[in-house]
Amino acid sequence: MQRCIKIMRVEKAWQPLSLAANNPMSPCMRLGFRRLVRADAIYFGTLFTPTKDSFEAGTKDDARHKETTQERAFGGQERGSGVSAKVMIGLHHVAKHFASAQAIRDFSMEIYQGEFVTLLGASGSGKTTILRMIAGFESVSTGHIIIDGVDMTQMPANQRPVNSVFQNYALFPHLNVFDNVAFGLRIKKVPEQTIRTRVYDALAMVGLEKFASRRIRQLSGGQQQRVAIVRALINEPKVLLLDEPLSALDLKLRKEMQLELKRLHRELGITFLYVTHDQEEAMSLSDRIGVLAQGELLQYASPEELYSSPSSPAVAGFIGETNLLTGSIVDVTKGYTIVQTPYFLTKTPMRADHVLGAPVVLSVRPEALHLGAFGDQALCRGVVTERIFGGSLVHLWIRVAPDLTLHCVSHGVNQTYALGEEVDVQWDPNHSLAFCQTDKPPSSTLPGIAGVLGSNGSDGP
Amino acid sequence: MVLFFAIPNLYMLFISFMQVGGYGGIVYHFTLANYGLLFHWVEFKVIADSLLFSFLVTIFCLVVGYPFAYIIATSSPKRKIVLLFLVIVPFWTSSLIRTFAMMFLIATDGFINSVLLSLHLIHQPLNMLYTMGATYVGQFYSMLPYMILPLYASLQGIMDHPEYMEAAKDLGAGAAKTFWKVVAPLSIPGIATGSLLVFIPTLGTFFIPLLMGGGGVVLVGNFIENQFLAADNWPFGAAASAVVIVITLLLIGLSSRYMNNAFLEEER
Amino acid sequence: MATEAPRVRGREHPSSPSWVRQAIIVAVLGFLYVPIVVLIAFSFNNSYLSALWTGFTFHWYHVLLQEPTLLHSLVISLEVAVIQTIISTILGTLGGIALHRYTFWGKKALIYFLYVPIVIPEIVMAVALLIYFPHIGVPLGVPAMVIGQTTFTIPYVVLVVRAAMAGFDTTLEEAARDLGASELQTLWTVTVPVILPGIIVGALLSFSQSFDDFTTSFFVDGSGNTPLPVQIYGMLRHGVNPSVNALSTIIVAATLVIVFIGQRTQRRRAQRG
Repeated sequence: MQRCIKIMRVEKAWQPLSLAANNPMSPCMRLGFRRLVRADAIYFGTLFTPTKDSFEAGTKDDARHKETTQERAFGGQERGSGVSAKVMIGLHHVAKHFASAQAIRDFSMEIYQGEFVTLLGASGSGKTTILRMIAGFESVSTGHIIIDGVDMTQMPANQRPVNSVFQNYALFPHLNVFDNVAFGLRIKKVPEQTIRTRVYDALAMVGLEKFASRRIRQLSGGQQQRVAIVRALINEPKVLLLDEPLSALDLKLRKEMQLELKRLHRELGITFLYVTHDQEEAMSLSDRIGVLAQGELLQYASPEELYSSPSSPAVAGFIGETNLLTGSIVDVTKGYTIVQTPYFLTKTPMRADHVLGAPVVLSVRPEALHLGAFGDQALCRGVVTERIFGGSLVHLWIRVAPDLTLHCVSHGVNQTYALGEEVDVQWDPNHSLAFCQTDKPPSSTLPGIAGVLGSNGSDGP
Repeated sequence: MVLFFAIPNLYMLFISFMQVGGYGGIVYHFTLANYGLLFHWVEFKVIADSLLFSFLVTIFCLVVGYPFAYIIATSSPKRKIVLLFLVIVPFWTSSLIRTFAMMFLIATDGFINSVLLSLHLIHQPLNMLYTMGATYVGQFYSMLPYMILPLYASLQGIMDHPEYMEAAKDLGAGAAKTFWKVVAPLSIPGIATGSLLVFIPTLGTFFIPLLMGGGGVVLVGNFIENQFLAADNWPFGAAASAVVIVITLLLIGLSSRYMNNAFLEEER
Repeated sequence: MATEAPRVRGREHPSSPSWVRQAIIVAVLGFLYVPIVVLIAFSFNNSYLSALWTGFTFHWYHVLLQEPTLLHSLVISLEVAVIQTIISTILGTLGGIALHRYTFWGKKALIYFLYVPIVIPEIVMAVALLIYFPHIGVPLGVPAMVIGQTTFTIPYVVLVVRAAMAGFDTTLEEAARDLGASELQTLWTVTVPVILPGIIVGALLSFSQSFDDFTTSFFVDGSGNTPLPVQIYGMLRHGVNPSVNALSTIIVAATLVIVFIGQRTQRRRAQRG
């Protein structure tokens, strides 16, 4: 409730259209509003860019409000925030050309207030470029970036209501911990008295209040990481941008910091936009994940959805491990598609684009494979060529044919096979997916957020 | 920012044009005749002498400076700091004062003669100051640190990668072979930089030949000085200094491909 | 150290025996330092003419203090050095940062051009200035010396600042911008403090270059503005007396202090990085 009032106060300083977003209205009105935002993005740039006065009034109002609510903000209480249906960041047909190549092409995506969204992709996929464009460090060639209803495409980085956590932390080496955290508040000319209490409260939030007068190089990697996060969060940004913040930490510390980030996100209710190449990290942290390759959004969905119904073989390969088999559709019946692979026939759930005779790529997760003696029920038969024991899981590689080796993960050590042993393979057809090869992956779809929002998400497009 | 930066540089550019204009006709209405004069044999000999002088001083500095730089680079860290400090101090000390110190040492009534006389090793003071030899010693003394420091920087860079030398030894090279086949070629940038830093100032030196060579040593530096302040033939002096500039720029151009440190990092 | 040094040497330089190294060290350092040490020692010598030691005295320092022309020269030298250090440090720092941050057409040429004054024989620059200054109305004297020295001290500052910027993590500037700092605030609160050691070294270098400068000053000092090095040169030409030793000793001592500060600053920077 408090948060809601606060937003309204801030919004008042902006333009009426944004204000409207916070008025109680029916889901269908809200839907209309969101459509408007998307369709008329350009108008924001020309008609609804806030004047300088209104911007300053906004920040001032914001700051005053923070002073009165800082206890709550940093008191570490549960704040039943969750995700609202308000769009916090809108990227509209954003493209970025570098001197030689096109880094980002026609990129559109929306992030809701309070969401934890991760951009996942290999290095060079453009995920960091997108983050840097939102932060204002990278110019946008074409398209628009809307933050909280305001077109920020041309706004310099220091005037954007977002803050960043950098990959190498970028803590100022000439300042101590306190001065690093206080940096943003001092720029805003917050009274020194207020700064003191707020910095100490913020440091307490991550258990570093005793380190306030330390020099940066006297801190461990994990402590530096916490300072970097607090330094960004103390400015109460509308969005926190995190660029592979955990990549420099070792595994144990990384897991710890993941939990810490989760906690901070939950308690503060700030929208987090996170960039990583680590799919496991993305899965465990995010409400939604955008999978990127070559500057394009392959799929944007909840982790569960990405895993269970990836939109393309590329996504399937990126999210978890998978076996990919080529084949062609020989029949379509009763909700199932029959696929002929070079070595066997199999069926798979039918998808809309399945046409008779089309070449397909069949994806089967390693854990969907069953090994045993299935006789006629077996899809194929192969020889165990490699075996890796990984604690609770055992990885097996089964060579079915000279050019086809299947990766299988099985639980339980009781079901073991020796190297060289022959074994039957089968899988539940419902756990396989067939992608039409000729089809381009449906890019930049904005699937409903039902998985995340429950009943609230019925206003998806 | 660029504007701030551009001002002194545009100024510099302007200066260098003025230099050309200075004898080309703005001050006095002389033309290329000044250059013609330079090729009279006396003046030509001054330039040739200066080039020889600079060349020999550079070689001396290299021969003495290289082993010393190598020793610094291979010393223990503690000793390295001390040795470096001891090289940097003369590097920063006014070369006029260091020239004076050398004069004081070798003058006819100077320290060495006084000591030798009082020990009755000699009966007549040795005539050391005000000779060509003294000019060489003075210039060498003044320039040695300028050779040692770039050489050290380059050698240290090599010593930071002992794997090169270890690889050479692993491939069967002895210590001498390792040095000549690996260390010496890798230190060429340092040699180029050091040589440039010695050769060019030496080419323009003027108070050292004046103070240590007496009246007898005429190099292009004091020749220019003489044209400007004594003979009052500015255009002639300017022509001589233009020749020095051309030689300097040629040398920089030639050696820039071998230098990787100091000035031209942007080259990489 | 005694136990450490032979081990290091033994590993990297097995062929040349330790006494050869010691001999080279002694010879080179001896060559570099004997003249200076003798010079300093004889500034305390109680004799006007002899280069033989006859007794200890501070007499020549008193003589210096009573020499109004020398004090005047000292004031001139300090004045020129301070003014030109301020100018070259500010312009050189901004230039060094700009050269590091921006890429623009002709940047490489500009860098080459910038370093020409460092390597070109000073006398050439000096006579160029001598010809040039009357044309643009710069009076010979302090202004001419300041401008003349600035032409070769700025490149030194730029050099040092660029080196400092090379080790500077530019995401720090992005972080400052991200936290709401304007470009100017970023420069002042982040960039300059972080590279401050480099700037200090550049300023020291610039100061000592100026204070020791003989050649440029010699040509453009005008009359009545003789700076210290030119004064010393005059004394050397008109016969040496031990007060020159005393003066030189003071300058060498000042140089030592500056080098020491510079080295410490640099080492602290290295530690921080």
